[in-house]
This record gives sequence, structure tokens and C-alpha cells, in this order.
Amino acid sequence: MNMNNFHYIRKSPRRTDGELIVTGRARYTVDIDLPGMLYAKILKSPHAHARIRSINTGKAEELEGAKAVVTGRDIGNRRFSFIDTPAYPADQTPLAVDKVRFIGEGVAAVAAESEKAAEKALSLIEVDYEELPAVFDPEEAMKEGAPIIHEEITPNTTTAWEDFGIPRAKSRPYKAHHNISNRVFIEHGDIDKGFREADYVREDRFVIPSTAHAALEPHAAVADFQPTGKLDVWLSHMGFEHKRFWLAKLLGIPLSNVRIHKTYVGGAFGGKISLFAYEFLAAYLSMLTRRPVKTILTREEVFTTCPSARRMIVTLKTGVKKDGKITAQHVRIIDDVGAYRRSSPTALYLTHVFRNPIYDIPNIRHEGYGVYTNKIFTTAKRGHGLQQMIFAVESQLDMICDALELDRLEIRLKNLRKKGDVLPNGDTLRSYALPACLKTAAERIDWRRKTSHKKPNRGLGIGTASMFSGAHNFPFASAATVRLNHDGRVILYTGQTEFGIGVETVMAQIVAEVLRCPLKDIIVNAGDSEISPHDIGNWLSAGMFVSGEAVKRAAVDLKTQMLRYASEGLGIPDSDLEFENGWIISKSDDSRKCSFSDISRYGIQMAGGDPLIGKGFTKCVPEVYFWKGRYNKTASLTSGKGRFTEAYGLAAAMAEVEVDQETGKVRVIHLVVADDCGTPINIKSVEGQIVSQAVMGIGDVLFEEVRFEKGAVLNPNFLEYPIPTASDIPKIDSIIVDSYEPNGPFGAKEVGETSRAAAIAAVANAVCDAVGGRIFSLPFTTDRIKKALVAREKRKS
Amino acid sequence: MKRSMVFDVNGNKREVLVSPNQTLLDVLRNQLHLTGVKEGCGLGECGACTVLLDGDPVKSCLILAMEAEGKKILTIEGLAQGRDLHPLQKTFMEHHAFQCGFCTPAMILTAKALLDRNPEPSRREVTRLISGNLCRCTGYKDIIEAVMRAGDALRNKVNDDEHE
Amino acid sequence: MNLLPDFEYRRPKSLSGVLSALEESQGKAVLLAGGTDLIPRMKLGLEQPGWIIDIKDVENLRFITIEGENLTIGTLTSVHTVAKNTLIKTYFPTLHEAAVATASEIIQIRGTIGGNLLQETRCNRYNKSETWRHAFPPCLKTGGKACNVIKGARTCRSVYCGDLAPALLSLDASVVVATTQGEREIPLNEIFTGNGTSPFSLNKTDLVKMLKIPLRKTRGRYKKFRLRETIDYPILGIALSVDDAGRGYLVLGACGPRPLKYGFSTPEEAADIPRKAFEDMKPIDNMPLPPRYRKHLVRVFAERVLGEIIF
Repeated sequence: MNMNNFHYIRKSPRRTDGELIVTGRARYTVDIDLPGMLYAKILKSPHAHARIRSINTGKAEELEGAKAVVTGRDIGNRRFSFIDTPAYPADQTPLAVDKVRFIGEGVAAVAAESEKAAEKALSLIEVDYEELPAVFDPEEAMKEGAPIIHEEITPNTTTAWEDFGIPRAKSRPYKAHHNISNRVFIEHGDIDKGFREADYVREDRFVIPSTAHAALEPHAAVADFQPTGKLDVWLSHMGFEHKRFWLAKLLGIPLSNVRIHKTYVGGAFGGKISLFAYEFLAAYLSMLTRRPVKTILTREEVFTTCPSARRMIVTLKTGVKKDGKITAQHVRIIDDVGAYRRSSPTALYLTHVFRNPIYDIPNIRHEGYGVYTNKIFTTAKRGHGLQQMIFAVESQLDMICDALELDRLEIRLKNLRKKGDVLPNGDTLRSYALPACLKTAAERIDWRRKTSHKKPNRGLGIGTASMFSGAHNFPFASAATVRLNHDGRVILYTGQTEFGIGVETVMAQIVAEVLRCPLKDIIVNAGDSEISPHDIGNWLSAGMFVSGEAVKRAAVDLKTQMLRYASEGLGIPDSDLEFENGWIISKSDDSRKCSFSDISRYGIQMAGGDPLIGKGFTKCVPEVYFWKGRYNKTASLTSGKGRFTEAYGLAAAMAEVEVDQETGKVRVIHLVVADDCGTPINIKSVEGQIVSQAVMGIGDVLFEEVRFEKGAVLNPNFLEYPIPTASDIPKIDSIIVDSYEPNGPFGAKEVGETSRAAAIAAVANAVCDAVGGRIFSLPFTTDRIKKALVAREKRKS
Repeated sequence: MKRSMVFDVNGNKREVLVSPNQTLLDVLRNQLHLTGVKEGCGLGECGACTVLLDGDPVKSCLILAMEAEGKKILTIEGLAQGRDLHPLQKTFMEHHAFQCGFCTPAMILTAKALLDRNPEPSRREVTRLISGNLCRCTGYKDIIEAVMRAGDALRNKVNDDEHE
Repeated sequence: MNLLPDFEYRRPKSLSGVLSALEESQGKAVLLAGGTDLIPRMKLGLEQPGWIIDIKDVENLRFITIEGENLTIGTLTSVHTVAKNTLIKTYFPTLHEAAVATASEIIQIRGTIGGNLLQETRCNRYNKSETWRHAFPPCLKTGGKACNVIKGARTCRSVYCGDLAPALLSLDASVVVATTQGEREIPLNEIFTGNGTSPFSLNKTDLVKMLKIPLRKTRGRYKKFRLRETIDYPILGIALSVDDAGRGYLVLGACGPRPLKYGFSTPEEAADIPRKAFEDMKPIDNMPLPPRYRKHLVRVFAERVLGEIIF
């Protein structure tokens, strides 16, 4: 494939829907206003762990303006979760039924004529709690005698995985011994042999707290239950299939009755993936009242009742030869899950899978526990467990270099995998430009010179990361359709969600490239569950690789049909025809051509009106079959065996920082991020993604932490949870390295999440280099840096 | 106690029934249906609710509706002149200065306030003024570029107008 | 949405109008200028006035002029105007720097010097919504008997976080206050009580009309330490002003319920201030960074700022 011959991709057209955004017309869920709409609010538990003795809603129900009041007991034991499998059945209900397990858990909900009335109604609900001892630290929670957060979890329906049709095992009760919610054990090679072969072994423990997504649009939902029995929903989300499935299941209505409408989403970053209680409650209250119901969480509620990124303790024991070649790595992770398990099984598995493509480590043991604590649960944030793992691995690699006096760039280059490598689980690295990422970044930041002539108070650091391009989750595939309109323009139907990636533009570019027609002739209809075909969702890093490929195939299908008509109509063989600039032209005589609208007319004249509709789909991992006899090649979350994804995105970052030795304040001087995303479909958009991720990464290292005390979030607002402002950004270079993923649409694969994780590691390593000591916990606030500086001085004397 | 008030919004006089404890943001979004202005936090910490009040960028979630009586309010909906987009709207599109777009109306209005007051700002001045508007998506680089280029465009337009 | 409680709203056109509205409200009124401190507090349920008296239409409260031996600044002058004023930049660089460092520029445009001065003290257990605070008992600042930061504490040590006050104090400023009983001038130092529960000695019915700063050429700095480069309140603020005779003040801000003022007339006296300030500073765990670290910062910053200006 000639990468220089693209007409519409590898370019930077501006967003086709840009006018909507700059004029304020883009409609977000918070902007939806329906006639007769009610407002819903949720009464939240002030206790971290308590039994609900009784709830009295009488006064609330009598309030003028209150239209419905519900409690957990009214709704009952309807269970849901992010991951719901026979081994790990769902453990959460939309409102607490018998007991609450975190501060902020909903115990009752109200729908009223106004927000004010809803708030008043909440204040009239009387709840009698019996406080229980609570536990907040995961290592404490695992000890004998710790408060039990979940009694035996007995499924009362089939689990979601069974509903999807996957497993043969039936669901069974789960007993959370020692508050362990789930576990993982992945092994390849021989870990003991690996350590015996090592010349140097070290073990370190890293603590990564939760950081918030802090999307500017708060979590919100509007639900409108129709007299026909259909449910219309508007959500601030990342993919409609998952939401639709859970809403239908919990409400007890057919899946096809749930329609998720297209909305613009004001940022998501992983924080809006799976079903939330407030979404179900909006729908449930709408069913009860037969009126539209809107609920918008306050910013404080977003911080306290919606999950932030995972809290993890990563212990790494690594063995290397004296030349730096890694022989063995033993990873132990404690995932502080919070009150409900949600996606911990996936995350523990992903912490291994995500880092696996980077370094070729022959002997690995990766084990972990999810542990319940009485805090808000957690979720993915631009990489599910990725940044936590990368911080640990990359930090320790630098420590190994310090101990053995090895070069920090060389050690990484020496341990990298190679293009074409097959990973222990069977995934193949058909595109792998990580060496180029490292070398390009090193050149751009002037690594050699700056590390050999280090200025005082300055430090440099490196980070590398990798990320999947889609993986297995319902519906396991994406599809798209493309329709030729009579005026020669084309409508693309895709299920993707717009939360900042510029979906419509990028997908239009793909169609345009196939059909070789102007971008303006492609109309994209995206994100409506009833109009669009299946979509795997934009939360699995699958938007480009899976959904983009489906779009490409649909366009190719349409092109084939159009070519046939053009060939027939013009009397010219296929092989002599080409698509160019919205026309189909003879290669040998360019006066012989037809337009797209000619094709449509031809279809009417010659075929009595045959419509031209292209259809395409792709699965995230084509070779995986769940029920092929006894053959099951899909990845097991617990053992890590089995195929996982078709392509990995990769990135390397390098940072230069200056640290004020007296105060510990950090100035990031330069951050370079080099991303291997295969072919960048829209170059400016990709660069924007990289910068976005890098800036978020700076926040992760220097400022951001969701702080808890006795289960209460101490900083649930934008002042106390500081995200980077325009005044906080350093010089950032974003580089797209040359690469091509053969199985991706026009060579494209995942972009961006690797940039953030790599940037976090690079900045963290740079700070530790400047400090001359290691800091094992994020974030590196100035007081922690100062502590490390003091410790270094003590060591010197 | 609710009373009738006339708001001067985007050059139009709009009469609304308002109570003292309503913020300007509330009235703009929920009574005048100008949903371009957004609520990101309600406490004046994120800037998503920025509108122009007599040309000054203000956080409308911190302003009582009644304080805005007699003042000229400009929201994003009032920026374009009929079919002609404001140079800022054009440069924001050209320079990919948004991703999810939620902070964009506020960013554009803040930038307009700056350019109206200072037609030739330095990059530093632009950075300073927009620093009160949080963006979680873009990393700000492209936003600053878009504002600088809009400044250029506005100055050229003025030069063109002067020559006529 | 965070909802505001119900209240009466008045916008008098004159100072006498404000004073008579204050009387009419029978102690239930608060004054509204820019609103950047008051409105968030009301949304969090920390303040529930029966009346709001908006003073923005009162004439002759926006000015920066020389009056006799003083520079006078009207209370409604925006922080942004203070930051841009060349007289202030020339004579009182500390005040200039403090204005530039206040919050973010967009808040500076709205916020007034009077409002910035009279901002309420802050604490990470206090500046939270009503719902959040329900998980803890009412504290000394919200009418309760306990402190939620230091068990058993008898006085409230919420932190005064204004940037302008330390600068103004370093310049020996005073305030002119209009009351129903006439006007009076008070040295700025005397309006701070040092008690977080009620940080100002002024009555709720007192209207600060203007600030007066003795006009003389000073050298100085305002150093602000905060997490980000904008928006954030100070974790620590240090203002230093010195006149041509070598006399001046170093003032600590964000160190406790009131700024701490240290005078000096010789370099030797000045050199001793970092040690004194370090000893006097008794921070508690109610701010974004730990108390011991903030104490350490006092010494570092005091020495740095003295080093830049005096030594």
C-alpha cells in the first residue's frame, strides 16, 4: 500500500461538525429539554458502611411537586455490574437495599416538577441507619477480622455473559473471602528459573491513588418512557450497546425497546462506560410517572458517587542480567476496588496484557487481587490499569539502571520486542514502531547531550507504554452501512459515540478515501442505537481499529456495487475504471465518466430502482469463536490464556524537568511524546489526542489525587482537585512515528492512551532523576518531593 | 419574590419572570433556552459558564440574574452575525481548538473579550486570560493558537475596513 | 445545579440607600459586590442571608486617586484595574504583584478590592456542600462546638487566603468604613481578629468605602506559592514592602485566621524575621498541602523575598 497516495486520509481536514460546536448548537444530554419533564435527585448515604433499618418516604410523597419517590426495597434486588460473569456475578443494585457500602451510595430517589422540589423532597425522607464498622484500606480489609463488606453474592438471574451466549458454565454464588472480590493469575515461562538466571534482583512497591476524569460535562441522563412501551434515553456516555443491554435487563423490558439517542458528550475519558445507578433511576422513574425524567449530577456528586481511576498497589520483583536484559518479573497487584467489583477482573488482567507487548520478558508471573473497601468503586481512565502498571515498571527500570550503572535508553532498547513477535497468548505484533518512538523522542529532546551534561536541579526521564486496539465485549463486533443517495451523496450509519474524538470527520475520511469523493459529500449519522448498526463502543480503544474497519468494509461493499453499475452503464470493463473526485472515470479516456448520482439514476432506469447500500462489519479478533465445539480461543480474564486483540498502539515519552531544591516545586521544561498509531487518519486530530493525553498525564504526576478520609472524598470540586490549566502546560512535542498496521483500516490502530501512560512515567522518572531519589507514590506533590530531597541529603551525609 | 425583568441578550430584549435567587446561568439556559452556556461545576471553578456582561467575561453561575438587569449580555449564540461566523469561530475550527466542545463557547467568549480590549495580545496574555477556563480535552495548545490567529484576522479586517 | 436559598435583593443607587437598606434588613443583610466569594458560599449552604444588598450601582466607589498624602482606592475597584494601574505599579510593586497573582484574570475582572479583602476564611472541612458536611458534626465556624480538623480545638483556625491583604498590610494601609453612625478610618491590621469563626472586627452593616495607603515610593515583592500557576488560593503568600529609609513590613498570608505582620527598620531586624515567622506559624491540616511542609515554606520564602529586596 502506497502511503503517499492517500487523498483524504493522512490529512487534517477540520471537523465536519465544527459549526455546531462553535455556535453552541451541539446538544449534550444536559441540554435536552422535553415537555413535561421531571427532575430526579438521589438521596445519598452519609455513612461508609451501615444497615438500613427503615426508610420513611411518607412526607416526601406528600410534598407538592413530588411525583414519585422510590427506595431500594421498592426497586428490589436487581443486580448489575460492569463485568458480570458466572465466576464473578453482579454485586450492585441501583439503590442500596439492605445496607450501604460507601459514603454517597444512593438509598432513595425522587422525581419532581423542579430541582428545588426534588431537593426538598429528599430532605423529607427519613432513613434509620445502623452504622457498621467500616474498612478503608485494602490490606486491612484482607486481614482476619476485618468488616465483611459483601456477604455471599448469590445471583438471582443469569449473568450478562450468559445472556450474551458465551460461557457454558452456569453462574454460581461468590463468596468474598477476606473481602477479595476477584483474582488473577497469569504466568508464562518459569519464574523461578528466571530469577535464578538473574545477576541482580530487586523488589519495589508502588502506590497509585485514584485520579478523576474531571470531564467538563457532568454525568447526566434523560429518560422518556413512551406509551408504546419504548424507552428513549439520552446519556453522557461512551457507547450505547452496553448501556442499552443493562437498562433493558434491569427494567425488565425487551432490549429492542431501548433507544439511546445521539448526543454530544462533554468528555468521558473512561469515566462514563458502564451503567450507572442514576441512569437506571431516570428510566425507572420515567416508567413510573410516564413522564420524561432528567437527572444531572452536581460536580460534587460526580466526584463522590461516580467512579474515578483505579487505586492500585503494585509490587514488582524483577531480575536482570548485568547487561540489563530482564530475565524475570513477578508482579503482585492489589486493586482497591471500593464497594463494588465493577470492572476489576478486567483491569487486573489488562495490567498484564497492556504491558506485555513492550518488553520481551521470558518469565512472568502476574497475580493480583481485587479487594472490597468501603469507598466509591473505580473504573478505567484512558487505559484500564495501564498508567498504574507503567508507572511501576518504568520507575523500577530506572532504579535498576541506577544500581547497575546502565544507560536508561539502552536498557529499554535492549529489552524491547520486535515487529512480528507473537506474544505468549497468541497475539501478533504486526506493527511495532516502539524503537522508532524511543529514538525519535530521544533525538527531539536531545537525550544524549542533556543526560551527559546534566544541568543542576534538572532531570530527564523516559516512559514507554502500549495499548490494545479493541477487545472482547458485547457485541464483540462493529458494523456499518453506507447508502448512496439520489443526489450522489452518501450517508454513513455507524454506532460510534462523539465525546471529542471527531468521529464523524474521521469516519467520513475513511469513506471518502474508499470512494474517492469529497468529504462534504459524506453525511455521517452516528450514535443512535436504533438507526446505527452494532457498535463495539468507543470505550475499548476500538473506535478506529474495529469500527473504522467496519466503516471501510461498508464503503468497499458500496463501491463494488457502484462499479458494477458504472461498468455496465458506460460499457467499460471494471479494470479500466477508477473513482476520482466524486466521479467514476475511464482510465484510458477521461471523457467517459459518470457521477455518483448517475449511478443512482442508472439503478432506476436499468434495474427498476435497486437501491445501493453497502454493508460491512468486523469483529475485534476475527479468529475467536466461543462455541466452536469445545474450542475456545478467547482470552480468559483469570489465566490470561487466549487471544486478546489484533493490534497494539505504542508510545514512548521523554521529559525534562527542573526541581526547586528548597520547595520541591517542579517545572516541566519539555515533554516529547512519540506515538505509534499506525496510519494517522486525521493528523491534526491525532496530534490533538497526543497533547491531550500528555497534559492529562502531567496532572496525574504533579497535582491529581482523589483523596479520602474514612471513606469521604476530601476534594470533590475543581478547586481542591486541580486539573492543569493553560498556564500549567510546558513545551510539548507530539510526534507520529512512521508505522503501518496491516489489519487496521488503511493501516490505523489505537492512538493516545499510550501517550498519557508514557508521559506519566517520563515525567515521574525525570523528577526522580532531578531529585536523586525515588518517590514510590503518585502524585509527586511538592511536599513529597521535598521529603525525597531531604532523604537524599541525609544519605549523602 | 418573582418579578418581571427585561434582559438585553445578544442584542434582543427578552422579558422573563425571575426570582432573586436565580443565577444568570439558570435564566439563560432554562428560561431563555440559550443552552450554549454550560454548567460545569456551579461554583465558579471551571469557567464553562462564561458569558460577556458589558464586554467583560464573567462566570454566570456566580451572578444573580437580577444583577444583569440593564447590562448587555452576550452568549455564544449571539456571536455570529447572521450567516457570518466571528473570526474566533473560524479559527477555532481551522486549528482544531476543541474536542468534546463543552468548554468551547466559554473559551471563545473569553477570547473575544480579550481581543476586543487588546487586538494584538502576546501569547502570554492569551494564555493568562484563558487560564480561568478549564479544558480537559485539548491540552490548550491549539486553543492558544486559534486565538492568536483570530487576532491576526481581526486586525486585517480592521485594516481593510479602514482602507475603504 | 447548586441551588441558592431564598432572599430579598436590593440594588440601591447611593451610599445612603445602602445604609438605610442595611438598617431596614435588621441584621439579616450581606453586601454583594463581585460575588465571587459570597455566591459560592451561599451555594454551599455556608451563608444564608435574608437580604442581599448589591452595592455595584453606588457612585464614587470605583477610583484610584491621590488624595493628600495618600493613594486612595475605591472599594468597588476591580482587582484587574488595580493590577493594571501604573501608579500602583510604580509606588507599591507589592500590591501590583498581589493583584496580578490573585485567582485568575477572569476573576480579577469581576472581583473588587473590597470584596477580596473581606473574603471569608477557608478550611477543607468547611468549604464544602451541606450534604458533604453532614458526615461530620457542625464545626466552630458553622455554629457547632467541635473542630473537624483538630480534635478538641477551642478556637477556629480556618485560613485567611486573600492575596491583597498581606500586600496592603505591608504598605500600612487603612480602611475607611461607612456605617449608619458615620464614617471612621481603621488601620487595616485592626480589622482582622485572628479568630476563624469571625475573622473580621467589622460589623455586617459596615461598608468598607475605600483603602488609603500612605503615598511613598516602596520596593517590594509578593510571593505566592500555590499548586497551579493560576486560579488557586495561596498555600502561602508573603508580602514585603520597604521604603527608601529601609523601613518596612513582611506579612504572611494563608498562614492562619489572619495575616501575620512583622515590622523592621534595619536589615538586621529584617534578617531575623524568617526565624520568627517560622516559630509563629502554627498551621493545621486544613489546606491542600501538609502543615509541616507549609511551615518549612515560610522560612524558605521569607528568606528568598528578603534576599531579593533587601540583601
